[in-house]
Parts: sequence; C-alpha cells; structure tokens
Amino acid sequence: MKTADLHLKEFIKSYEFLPSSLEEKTKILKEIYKNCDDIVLHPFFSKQSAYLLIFVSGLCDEEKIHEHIVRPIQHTSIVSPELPLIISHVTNITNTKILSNTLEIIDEIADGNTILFNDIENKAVSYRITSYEKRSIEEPQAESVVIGSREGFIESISTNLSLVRRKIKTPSLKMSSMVIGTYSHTSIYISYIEGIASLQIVEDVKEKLTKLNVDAVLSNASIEEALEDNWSSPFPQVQYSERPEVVAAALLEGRVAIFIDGIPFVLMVPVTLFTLLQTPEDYTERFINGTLSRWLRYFFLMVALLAPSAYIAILTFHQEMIPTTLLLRIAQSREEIPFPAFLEALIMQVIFEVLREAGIRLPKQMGSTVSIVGTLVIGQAAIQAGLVSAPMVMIVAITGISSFLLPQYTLSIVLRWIPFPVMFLSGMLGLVGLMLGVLIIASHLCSLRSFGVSYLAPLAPNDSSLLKDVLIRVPLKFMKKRPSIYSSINPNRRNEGK
Amino acid sequence: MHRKHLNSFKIYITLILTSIILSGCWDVMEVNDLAIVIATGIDQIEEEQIEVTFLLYVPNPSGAASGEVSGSSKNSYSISMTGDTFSDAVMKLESEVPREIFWGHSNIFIFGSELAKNELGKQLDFLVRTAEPREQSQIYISQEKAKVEVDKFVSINTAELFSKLPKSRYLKSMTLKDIEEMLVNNSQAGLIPISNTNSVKTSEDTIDSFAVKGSAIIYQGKMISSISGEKDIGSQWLLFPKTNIPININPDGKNGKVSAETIKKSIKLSPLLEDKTWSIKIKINTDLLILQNSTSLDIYNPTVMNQMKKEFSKKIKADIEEFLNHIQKDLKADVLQFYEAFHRSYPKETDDVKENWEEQFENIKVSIQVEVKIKNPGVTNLNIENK
Amino acid sequence: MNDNVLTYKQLFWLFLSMQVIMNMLLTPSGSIMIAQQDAWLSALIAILISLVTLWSSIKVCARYPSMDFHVIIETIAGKWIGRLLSIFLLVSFTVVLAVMLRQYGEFVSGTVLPKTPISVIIFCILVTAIYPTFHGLGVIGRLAEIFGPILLLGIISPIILGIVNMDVKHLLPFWYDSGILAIITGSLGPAAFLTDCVLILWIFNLSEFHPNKIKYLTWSILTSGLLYLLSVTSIIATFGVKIASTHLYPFLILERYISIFGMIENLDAIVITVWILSIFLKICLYLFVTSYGFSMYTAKINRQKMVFYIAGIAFFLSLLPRNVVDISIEFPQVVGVPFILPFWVILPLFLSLTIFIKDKINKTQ
Repeated sequence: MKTADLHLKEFIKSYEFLPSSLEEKTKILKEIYKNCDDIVLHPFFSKQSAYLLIFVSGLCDEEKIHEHIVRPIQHTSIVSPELPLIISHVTNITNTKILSNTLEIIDEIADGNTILFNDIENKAVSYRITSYEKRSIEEPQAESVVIGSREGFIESISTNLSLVRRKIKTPSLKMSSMVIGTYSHTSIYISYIEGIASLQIVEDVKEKLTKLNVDAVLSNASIEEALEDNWSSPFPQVQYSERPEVVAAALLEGRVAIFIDGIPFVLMVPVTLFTLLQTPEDYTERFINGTLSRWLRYFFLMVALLAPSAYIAILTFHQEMIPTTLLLRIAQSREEIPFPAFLEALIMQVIFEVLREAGIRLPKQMGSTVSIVGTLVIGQAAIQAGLVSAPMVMIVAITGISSFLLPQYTLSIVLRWIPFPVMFLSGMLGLVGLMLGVLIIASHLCSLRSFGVSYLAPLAPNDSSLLKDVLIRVPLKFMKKRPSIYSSINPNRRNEGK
Repeated sequence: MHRKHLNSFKIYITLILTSIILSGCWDVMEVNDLAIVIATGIDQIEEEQIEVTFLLYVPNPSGAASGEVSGSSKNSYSISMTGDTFSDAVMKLESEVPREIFWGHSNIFIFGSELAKNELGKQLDFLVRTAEPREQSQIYISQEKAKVEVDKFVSINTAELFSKLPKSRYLKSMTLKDIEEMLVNNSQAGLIPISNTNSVKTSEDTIDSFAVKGSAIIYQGKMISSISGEKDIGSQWLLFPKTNIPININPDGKNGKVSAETIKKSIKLSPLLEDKTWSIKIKINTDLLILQNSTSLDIYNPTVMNQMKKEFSKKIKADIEEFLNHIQKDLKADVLQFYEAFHRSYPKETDDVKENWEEQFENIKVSIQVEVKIKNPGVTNLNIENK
Repeated sequence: MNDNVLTYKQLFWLFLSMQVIMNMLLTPSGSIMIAQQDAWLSALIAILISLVTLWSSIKVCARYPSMDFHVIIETIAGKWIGRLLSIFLLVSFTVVLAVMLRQYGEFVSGTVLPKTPISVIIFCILVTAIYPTFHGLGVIGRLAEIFGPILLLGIISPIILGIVNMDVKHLLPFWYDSGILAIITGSLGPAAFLTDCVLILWIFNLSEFHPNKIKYLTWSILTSGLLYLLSVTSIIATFGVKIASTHLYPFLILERYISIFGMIENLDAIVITVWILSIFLKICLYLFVTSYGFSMYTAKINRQKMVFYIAGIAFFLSLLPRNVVDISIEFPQVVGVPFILPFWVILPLFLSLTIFIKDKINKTQ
C-alpha cells in the first residue's frame, strides 16, 4: 500500500505541470485516477478543436455542465480555443479559476468543481458548479432556544460561512482558509474580525493548525486537541456552537472561530468557564430573567458537582448538622438499607449514568422504554425492596437534572464523572474531603489557560468591570465595552462620536 | 510543555492512589448504626452512684417502607445505666448497646433533684468538657427522679417537642452555655428551671407530657432551694427576658380581675457605690397585652389606664421583691450576677470584698423601678357583665 | 510557561485570606487569658507590630523592585551574612509550615475527624496544596481571589448573626484587670500570626507593578488585623472572659451558638470550611516561598521539584510533636514568640535601616 501511495505521489510530482497535448493529459489523468470510477473524463469537440472535461459525478450539477459548458462550446463561432477567451465569451458560468499546477487541479476536482482542458494550453479552467446532496438548514438540535433564530449550521462549510457572513457584513470579517489532512484534504476556515480580534491569538491558532499533522479530519476532536493548551484536563477548552448568532457574537467579542468542512459545529477560542455557562437565550430574555436563570445555572452547577458528596459527608460524618426532626426521618428511611451511604450513592449514581448513556445510544423510539424501565427499576422497585433509601434517590435525581441545565454538552459530560472522585474523598474524610475535592478542582481550573486567557477569567484574575456580566446579565445598555480578556485592540462596542 | 502536563497527570494518579490506599474511613458513622439520644436524665442513687437514663430514638423501619407517617412515639426507648460518674455510666452504656450513642441531637438534659442537691457542678463538667452536646442544649432539674420523668416521655413525640422548646415563648429554658457562664462567674450562683410531667388524657389513654414548674437555685455547684409561685414569677422577670409572663391584678375596690400578658420586657441593672453603701437600681420596661377584664373598669379611659399601669407595676414589683428577698436574705446566692455588675463599674472595690461577697451581697440595697406600657387593651371595650 | 505573576488584587486577597482565620481560631483564648477583657487592645498592638513589619519589608523590596530577595539581602548585608540570614528566614518559614500543618491536623482531628490518624489528615491537604504550588504563584493568587470573598463572608456573617447573643457589658471594666504589661504580652500571640506578612520579601518582585500595590497590601494586613479585633471583641462580648479563655477554639464555639430561626444550627461546618480554605492558601504560599527560595541556593534542582522536597520535609517535621499541647502551647512559648517573631520583625527593620543609612551616606558623598 505504502509503495503504491508513494508511487502515486511521485507520479504527480513528476508532472507538476501538465503537458499541452490533450492526448497526453488524458493519459496522465487516467493514470492518476486509476480505479476511481466516480471520476468522469469527458472528451468532446467543437468545430475546430478538442476539449476534455473532468469532474466527480455526484458532486456537480451535470445538467448545468451540459447546458452552460458543453453546448456553448460546441455551438460557438469563436475559433480560438484559448481558455480566457472561452471563459469570457463562450461558457456562461461566473465562478471560474484558471489553474496550472497539477496538485491544485486535483484539489479542485475533489472539491466538486468541473475542470476543462483544451488541446493547446497546459492550463485548465475550473468551473464552480458544485451541487451535491446536503441537509437543508434546520433548527439546531443541541442548542435549542425558545426565542431566537432557528438557523443552525449544516455539514457544508460554504453554507456555514454564508450564514455567518449574512450576520456580519463588514469586510473586516476575515475568513482565511486552510487545508488539513494528508488524505482528507479537509478545508478549514479561520474566521475573525480584523480590528477586534487579537492578532496574536489569530496567529497562534494558525500556527497550531499548521503544525497539525493528521491523516484526516473526520471529527472535530482532532482540531480541538490541536487548539488545547492542556490535553490532560477534563474540561473543554474549545467552545462549540451550531448557531450562527452565537458565533457572530463570539467574533464580535474578539474571539476566533474555526469552521470545519463536514462538521455542523463551529469551534471558538479562547474559552473561559463562564462563556461555557452562557446560553444564547441569556441575551434574548429580559435582563432580570436572564440574570435569574444565570444564577440558577451557577447554583445547579454546584449542585451537580457536590450534592451527592455533601449528602454522603453530612450523613456519615456530621449528623449533628442535620436538624433533629429531619435526621430522625432520614434515619427511619435508611434503617433497613444494607449498604453504607457511600456505596448506596455510588450504585445509584452509576445506574443513573448507565440509563443516561443508554438513552443516548438507543434509537429514539426505544428511549422512552428505557426511561420507563429506569424509573420503575431505580425509583420504585429499589426503594420498595429496601435496597436504596428514598432521600438518596432524590439526591441522585436532582444531581442528574442539574447537570442537564448546563448549555454546553461538553461541559455537562465533565460533570458526569467529576463528582465521583469528590464522592470518594468525602466518603473518606467527610466535609474535609469534600473541601479538598473542591480545592483540587478549583486549583486545576485556576491553572488552565486557553490561548493565554485564564480559564476562570474574569473571576480570577479579577476584573470587576467584566465580572458584572458574569454575576448578572447586565442590560445591554451598560455593556459598552468588549471583554478585555480576549483582546484589547478595540474596546468600545459603541461607535465613538455617537 | 509536555513534560509539565505529564507531571500534573502524575499528581492525579498519586491522588487517586492515595485515596484508595487511605480509604480506611475511620470516622464513618452510618445513620443505621446510631442510637440518637433525644433526652438525658441524670440521677444520683445510693452510695455515690450515678444513674443515667437515655431517651433513645431507634427508627422503626416498617413505618418507613410503607411510606406511612408514623409518629416517632413507637421509636423511642429509654435505657438506664449506673456508674461512678456521669461519664462512667455513659461509657458503660456504650459498651452494652449495639449501636453507637449519638449525642449531637440531645437537646435536653434533666438532672434529678437528689443529684442537683449534692453535686450538680461536678456532673455538669462532663457536658462542658466533651464537644458533642450542643451549647444550646437545655438544662432542667427534675422535681422527682429524672429517670421517672424520662421514662414517661417514651410515649410522646419527644424529639419534635424538645427541638421546639427553646423557641417557646411560655416555657422557660436555660441553655448549657448560660449555666456555664453563671456558675464560673465570681458569684457562682445560677438558676435552672424545674421540669415536671403533665398527664394529658386522650380518648384512649393518658399521655405524660413535659412541663416546667418553678425554678431551682444553684449556688456553688449545688441546688440550695427551689422556688415556685410568686417568687418564680419574680425570677422570670429578671432572668428570662424572652418568655412571656401572665399577670393578674385585683384592682382596688373592684370586684374582678384584669389579666395581662407581657409582650416585651427589658431589664437594666445600674449599680451605685456611694460612701461605702452598695446599692443597685433595677429598671424594668415592659409592654403588656390585656387578655381579660372581668371588672367594670373602662380600660379605654386614660385615667383608668394610668391606674391600671400603677397596679400592674405594683404587682410586678411585689413579685420581684419577693424573689430578691429570698435570694438575698435567705440564700445569699448572687443569682442575678450583681458582683459582675459592680465589678464592671467599680473593679477595685469589688476585688476588696471578693472574699466575703456573701455578706456584702446581703447588704446591697436594691431599688426596683417598673415602667409598664399597655400596648394593646384589647380589640373591643365590651364589658359583658356590666350591662 | 512562567505563571508566577500576581496582580495587586490577588496580593490583597492572598495575604488577607491566608492570615485571617488561623489567627482568629487559635490565638483569642491565649490572648484573652492574659489580657482579660482588654484583649482587643492587644489586638490593636498586634496590628501595629505587623504593620511595622510590613512597612519595613516593603521599603526593602521597593528599593530594589526587580531583584529577588536573595540578591537584595546579599547586596545589603554582604554575601555571607546575607546568605545566612536569608536561609535562616527560609528555615523559619519551613518550621512554621510544619507547625501549621500540625495545627490544622489537630483542629480537624479535634473537631470533626477524631478517629482518623493525624498523619492522614495532614497528608491529604499537603498533597492537595502541592498541585497549585507546583503550577506557580499565579494559580495560588487566582485561588485566593476566588476564595477570599467567600472567606470574608464566612467570617463576617456569623459575627453579624451572633450580635443578638452579645453583651457589651462583658468588655468592662476597662484596663483594671489587665495592665499594660499583660496587654503587650497578650498581643504577642496574634502578632506572631500577623507578622508573617514578612513573606512579602520573597514575592514582592513577582507581583505586577501597580501604584496601588502598597496600599492594597497595607489594607490586607489591616483588614485581617481588624477582623481579628472584631472576632476577639465578639467572643468576649458573647461569652465573657472566663469561658472564652478556657475554650481551645472560642471562635468555633461562637459559631456553634448561633441559630437562625431555630432551624439552621451548628454552623461549625462554616468555620471548618473557611478554615480549610484559609489554611490551604497559607500552606500553598509558604510552600511556594520556601521552594522558590531554596531553589535559588541549589543550582541543580528547579523550583517545581523543590516543592516536593519541602513538602516531604514539612510533613516529616509536622509529625514530630506529640500532642496538641506541644504544638499550640509549647511551640509558641519556646520557639514562636522568643525566636521566630523577633526575627521576622527585626530582619526587615534591620534591612530597611541599613538601606536608609547607606542611601544617606551615598547622598552626602
């Protein structure tokens, strides 16, 4: 395999520029695309000269090829077969490019463009009449909102770029392209607003992506890993969104967005924990509601992280902290439970995770079955059999629900397993262990950085002018400044002078 | 860069490893293994032996499984043990009960009167020294044997009752901290409410409930007297600022009574030392609420109102004087902490009489000033009898 | 990546939060025992002593704003004396670190985990503290910034809630029971804790330059001192001198005595939480300074490795004392107050005086 691969590469290299003769060109192209039956090589003739069309069937609109390229050339009265002349006078397709390098030509073909050769030049014209099956723009699945735009990104990168371009029309919005993947040749666009985004971060992103050496970019993980500063951390250091307005907002804050072909998500860096905790809806709601739901999210983030651990710690170490009557009630419900509280919590938590995982993997029709079985098994049967106490079921359920409150899926995955070590610690040392667990997590978060931006900014390092947008959702009237943590080039959101 | 992350990864691993190695869980105490103490009674029986009676809560699992709300009455048990000291008895008991005795929720300690008369202070030391009983726990002295009293509580929903005790506006309560403070002060005197039981008849059976009747006066770690009636009410005016006190008066020449209740009261002690005469002024401000008027008096009338105020203050003053006479002349126990009050203003002089404070205390002139405000004479002024 | 830079706000929170709780919890009873109801005056004197230490330390560092302390001290005191003094200082930090660890162990063991071996309790927090220290001072600073406000809330709110239990009469009579000597002796305990602001000598040049830096630093020591003053006062006002001086941790008892609506009781959990936060930051800072300092004298070992060595030594030292009396009563009496406290106060004073004189001489020349 390797030798064949090498052979092909060397073969292409030896023909950096194609010869002018159509016959030779056909021979070389046939050699390159040996056994590629989806490649169409179509020779045709006008009155005076011969031409060759090459394209990937299924990626191009064949009707348009016939209508706008083949037929005009066959019927033209212009004698000269020179390519510029054909583009300007014969064919009626506007998005064209003249190519000479073989590698370029191959890339263009793979992108779904149609290439036209003539008999006299060693150059080729690439017509952009791609048309392939793609999903239509739908409502985003992972980030749904009640009020707000219903557009979501799809797998086609050009559509995605256009969705953002439609929101930010200034020419300062730069989209610089890049091809990654030795085999996949995936096109990637790095997008930022010139004059807002910090050039250092843009350069950093570009450098990191250029260094990336992979076979193929089939999922976002390979790009994400290249962008991370700390690969061993469980916390996401890249934000995903499938909503154009989220990306547009991020760009306006001076962040950098990365579009990947074939992936309906756009990656955004740098990231802080608090950006991951914001939902697009925060800014469509009235500011009081937005603030309250933000507080709710923060509170339940803590609940998701600590509720089972705190329950274990208090129940097995610090019974004096529970009000007397409540303790007696808990004691009554726990009396016949055979497991220690720690084990009980562990079992329940694991069962809950299993159910959640099963719910995701199963086909949609089966999902409800799982939830019914799950509720019956853990909720009802386990309590009645006296295996698990009712308060524990409540705690686990609250923990589970709270982790769904987090807007970023990548973050809520982390919260699925982070509680377990903390549970261990608090099962061992009670509240002291719980505190140690919190301290380890906090220290880790403090040590994280994403493109030089502290993960906990603006809480630490403290920036009181930005902290207000973290603690409350400030009315837009008062949000006159861009977050200085990302970039300090253009701090004012308002047009000066007005 | 990469080396650094490998290192931090190592720390994770060490942490997880240590937590596994260390998972000895030394201090784990499952709720299932606890016998939760709700109330404690301490008695002295012959030959210097101490008998401790615990009211334990041991959950009744069948109640929980069926989800019914069962009163905790079925879950209370009492258990007694004798030992040389309080702690000795507790230790002995712990070795005989399969569950761990859990003190964290013991809100009430009742000392038998026999014990209180002999060595209350010595046994209180155990409560103060160990960390577990709360500083807010209530201390009472039983009229009879504490064991008898605690045994009776088995049939009522005691845990809830006792946790509400400190909030009650009618039942007097003294916390462990209050008593500790009184007894370590120079006056070494204090006052502890006396507990008793009340029989409540229901349609099925008789239930014994908790009650507070009178107070005991403690001096130098021993109970020296018990007071009730007017003296007790006098003590409530001075020592229990949070409880409500009922007052009845017989207005002069009128047939009938006026009853009122205090809503708020405050006390101020101002000591004065002039020409070697020690005197102290007690100023009491109180707000009253009229509950019943069986006289023909028109309370809404300002002059009558003023008269009433005078009558009330006279009554209050009389009660307090009765109490003060008792502690000053009969007992010579400085329950009201006059020593501290004088020490604050006249530190040198009090130090001089520190040794024979008892004599000095007896001779302190006390003047009482009561200021009564009638906050609410009632919503109507209807006199039913007075047609 | 060098993550050792502190902002001036971080400096404020770091010094405030590492000092405050330790002092509040451990020293009031000793101070009250000696100075009686005038212990709050002792607190004022302790604040004064610590401010003098801080002020002279800052004077030393501000004279050479970009130099590390081991360079500064060698420039001022000569190569060998300077090196000796600076190593003495680092050793004193290491000893205090060990003592702190032990005191933490004793406290946790005495209040919540009576059966867990103290070595385990100490080991756990030490391992936790290594993590941020390893990553650098910046991480410690950010931690302080996050937890500082929480700490402050955890200290002030119980005091405010406990106001109903307080009686100002307990603070009388003024001056009679104590006297000037007792008040000064009573101030030594809290002063020993407050003067560890001498740590600034090592980290001053690591914090960013800001015109407000010195102001913030002074405020942080002042705030921690004032909070101590507040806590001592409220302890006396709640319990009176006699009970307050006999309890080992009167501040803990103060919180236990608070009850909100008769429902939320036993707030000792708050004290324990706050205590762990505070001591954690303190351990981190000491660990950082000692490892940073010692690594300057050992050419081969870098700072990050040094963290592990120092932690090991401190762990070993912390296991030496036999019981709580050794560490809480004997150590302060035998080593803390007679040696470490004067050393911490006099060293920066001596250095700043030397600078002052040197500059004077230079000017006249």
